[in-house]
Order: sequence, then structure tokens, then C-alpha cells
Amino acid sequence: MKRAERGFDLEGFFFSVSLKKKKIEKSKTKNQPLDPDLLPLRSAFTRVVAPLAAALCLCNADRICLAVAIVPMAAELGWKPATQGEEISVFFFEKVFF
Amino acid sequence: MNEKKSQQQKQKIKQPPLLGLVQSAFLFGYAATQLVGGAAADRFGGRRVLGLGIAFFSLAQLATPALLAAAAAGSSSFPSSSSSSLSAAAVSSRTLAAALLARAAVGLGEGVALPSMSSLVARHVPPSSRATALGASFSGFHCGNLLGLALSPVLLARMGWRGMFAFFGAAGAPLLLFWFSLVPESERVKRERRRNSTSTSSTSTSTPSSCSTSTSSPPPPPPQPPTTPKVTPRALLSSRHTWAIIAANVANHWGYFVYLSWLPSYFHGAVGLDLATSAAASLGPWLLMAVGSSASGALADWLVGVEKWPVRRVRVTLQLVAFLVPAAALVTLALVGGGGGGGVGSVGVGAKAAALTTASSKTPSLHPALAIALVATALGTTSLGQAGFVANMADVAPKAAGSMFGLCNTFGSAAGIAGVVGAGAIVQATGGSFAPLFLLTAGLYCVGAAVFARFASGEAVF
Repeated sequence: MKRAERGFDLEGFFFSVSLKKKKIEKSKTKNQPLDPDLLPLRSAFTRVVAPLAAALCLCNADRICLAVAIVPMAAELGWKPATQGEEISVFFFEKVFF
Repeated sequence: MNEKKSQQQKQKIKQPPLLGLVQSAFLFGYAATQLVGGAAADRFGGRRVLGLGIAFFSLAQLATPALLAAAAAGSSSFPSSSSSSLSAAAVSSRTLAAALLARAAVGLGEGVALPSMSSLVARHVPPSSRATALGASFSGFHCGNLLGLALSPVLLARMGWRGMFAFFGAAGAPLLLFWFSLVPESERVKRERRRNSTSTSSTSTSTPSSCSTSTSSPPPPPPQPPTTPKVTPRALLSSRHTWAIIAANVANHWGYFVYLSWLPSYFHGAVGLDLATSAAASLGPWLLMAVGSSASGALADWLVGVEKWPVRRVRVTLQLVAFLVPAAALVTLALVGGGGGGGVGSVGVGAKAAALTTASSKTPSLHPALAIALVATALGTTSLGQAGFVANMADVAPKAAGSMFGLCNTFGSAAGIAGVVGAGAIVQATGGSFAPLFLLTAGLYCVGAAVFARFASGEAVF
């Protein structure tokens, strides 16, 4: 974790356009030399971005599942204003995915 | 079931208020933890704050059925589908309140996610790749929509809604394992904690080498500054560069939540697609957004790194495209209400599916393929904003990216609530017409674009 190596992993990163970036990098971090938190490019993506993407994915899945689940819930629990229109979503997805 | 389905198709379907109510309950919780979550992520590190957030929203998700059961308990037998007891109305209103509470709790947990992302990316990712990193993270975000929409009907069919909540809640456990095994703790945060523990000798909790973060410790809400210069929300708000981002954030979130809650109804009710096609058509734009997020991030970093564009020009250009193209698409949608348009192909799944059902029983007010193409264009280009105003937060406030995101997204979430609720009111007031809503959204995009273009900065201000 305590990685002292600066510089960039050019091979590992598929969007790599990095060669010319170094200069900008230097000029930007001139005031704070050697920020200990900055990771090399590849581990920034494997250790920060990948888990972030997974976490945000679950966030949204947790959120949006209710749009579908609300139909049977409303029917079972007797939430009145629901029953009509929301059936769309369930029928949608039933039909598409089965 | 088939007859029920055809019944449904016959009805003029409009979005009922319930879903809007439940979604805004979520959004209230979501908005509430933006600021706190962002400030906490800046101070304690996104690793611990979002780790806690995942634990919290997963537990809330997991506990939802139990909470509803507890709310229903006492008066009638719960699982019987035909509720025949006397106080059925009372029970249903109690369970509904419990559901709203549970959604708000899930929202509270999820509220810290995006500010933590902003803080983590600003802290750990080299500046020249930050837009790419944000874009990739947002791709995960949009994939969550796809995953949730694809999985939940299957889960509902297999194990009912209780099982579905349990499944999604339980999915938090492996994610947490993954999270804490990978995400690094901030050196700066560690250093500060070390300094604090040496100065106040009595506490003596953290040795520098032990990375064991107890998941149970709550993030203390208002951060007090030990060593790093603290950037308060008030200081952030004093800058017009912040207001530029806020304006873009508000316009973006209004549009996003209007799409999120109204897309299926629009495709079905106004365009006249059948149910299955509407479903496929509403999935398409999310897929496009997932791709667009990553692409726009890489594009922005390429423009800065290789083409040597100034940062401000990159952010403003991308944001202008991200707002003005959807605005044009929405205006077109609003105006071309009348006849069938030309055969627009190549929108992928949606268009293909639409072509199959153009000869449906309903007479469409707009050529379905054209409508799908326009909505997909609108949503897809909106995702360029991730390399515009979102990436601009870390440009302007690199040391307080979490607080900045939390602040701006508090306004954004409020706009999201207004979008969910207001859109329903507008569509109902105009008798099921989506044109006024689209024009209003297009207008907001234009205002957001103008304010951002005028006041955005490419330099670090805080």
C-alpha cells in the first residue's frame, strides 16, 4: 500500500495515451511533491475504479429493483393507488426475459 | 394471465403516484447524506465511508421485508393475499409507511456512494486519468440499472419480493469483502490519525501499520479540521465556479430522473409501443449511457493529454454537447407529435424490436423507431456530462472533491425529486401529453449549458 514508485504503467492500460501526460502531471503536482495517495495508473484502476464500479452497480440495482417489485408488493399489501399503472413494468420484464 | 395482460394493454396507462412517492422517499434519504458523506470521505477516506455505506444500504435492503412484516403484525395475518380483515386500510397504510422508511434508509446508505467516488478518484487516480476513472465508475453505475431491471423480474418470479430484497441485500456481503480487500486507505488520512493519536495520548487506538478498519464504527458527521485546510460548503458556495457545476448538476439530474421514472410510460402510452418493446426500448438508452460514460472519460483525458486542450475548454465543450444535443432531441420529440417519421434504423435492439411491432393495434403518434432513436440519442449524449461537470468538480476542488460532489449533488438530488414529482404533475395536467415536459427539460438543459459555459473553471480554486 505504501508505494513509493511514481510514474506510469504504460503497458497495462488500454486507453493509454500517457506518454505526453507526464509533463502535465508534473506541472500540476508541483506544489505538493510526491502525493503519497496517488497510485500508479494500473493499480488505481484495479484497486479503486473496479471496486467503485461494482459498488455503484449494486447501488443502482438496489434502487431500481423496487420499480419492478412494487407491483406484487402493492397487490399483496393493499397499497391502493398503485395497482393500475405499475403493472406495466412487471409485464414488460416478464415478457422480455422469459 | 394473458387476459390480464391484454386488459392492461387496453388501458391508457399512466404512471400512478405511488411509485413516485416511493422513489422520492428514497431520494430524500439519498439527498440527506450527500454533504455529510462527501465531507466524511474527504476526511476519513472513501474506503471507510463507502464501505460503511454499502453495509448500511445492504442491511436496509435485507431488512425491508422484516420491517414490513413488523408493521403489518398485530392486526391481521400477513401473507394472505386477499386481505379480508376489518382494518385492512390501516394495515396497508402502515406497511406503506414502513416501505417508505425502508427506502429512505437505503437512500441514506447510497447517498455516500457518489461523493466517496469523487473523493477516492481525486485522491488516488493520477489527474491525467481522472475523467477516464470517473467514466468507468459511472459505467458501473448505469450497468446497475440494467442489472436490476434484468434480474429483479427473474428473482420475483422465483422467490417473490421478499426473496428479491434478501438477494440484493445479501449481495452486499461479497461486495464488502471485495471492497475492503482492494481499496487502499489514504496515506494522508492515516498520517493524520497517527498524529492525533500521538497528541492525545489517552486514546492510543491505531498503530500505523494495522489497516483493520472496524466496519461498525460510524462516520462522525461533521468533520473538524486537524491539519488539512478545511473547505467548508460555504466557502465552496462563494465561488461562481461552484455555481456553474451546480447549474449543470441540477439540469442533468432533472433530466435523468425524468427519464428514469417516465421512459416506459412514455414509450407505451405516448408512442404506442407494446409492453415488451417498450421494455426493450427503455433498456437500450441505459446501455448506451454505460458505454457513453466510459467513452467520454477517455475522450476527455485524451483531449487534455494528447491534444493539449486547456481543461476548461474540454469540460465546457463536452458539457455543451451533453446538454444541447439532448435538448435538440427533446424539442424534436415534442414538435414531431403528428405523423410517422422516416425509417430510422440502427438503434440496436430497440429499433429492431420496434420494427417488428410497428404494425401494432395502436396508431402511433410518432414513428416508434424515430422516438426510440431520439430518446437514445438524448440519454447517450447526456452521459458525456460525466467528463464535463462531474470531472470538473475534481478540477476545481481537488482536495475537497468529496465535499464538492456532495454539495452539488444535494442540489442535484433536490432537482431529481422535483423531476420525479413534477413530471407526473405536468403529464397529468396536460392530459397525458409529454410535449410540455420535454420542452421544459430542453429549456433546463439550455440554461444549465449556458451557465456552465459562462462560469466553469479549469483551474484548482480550493
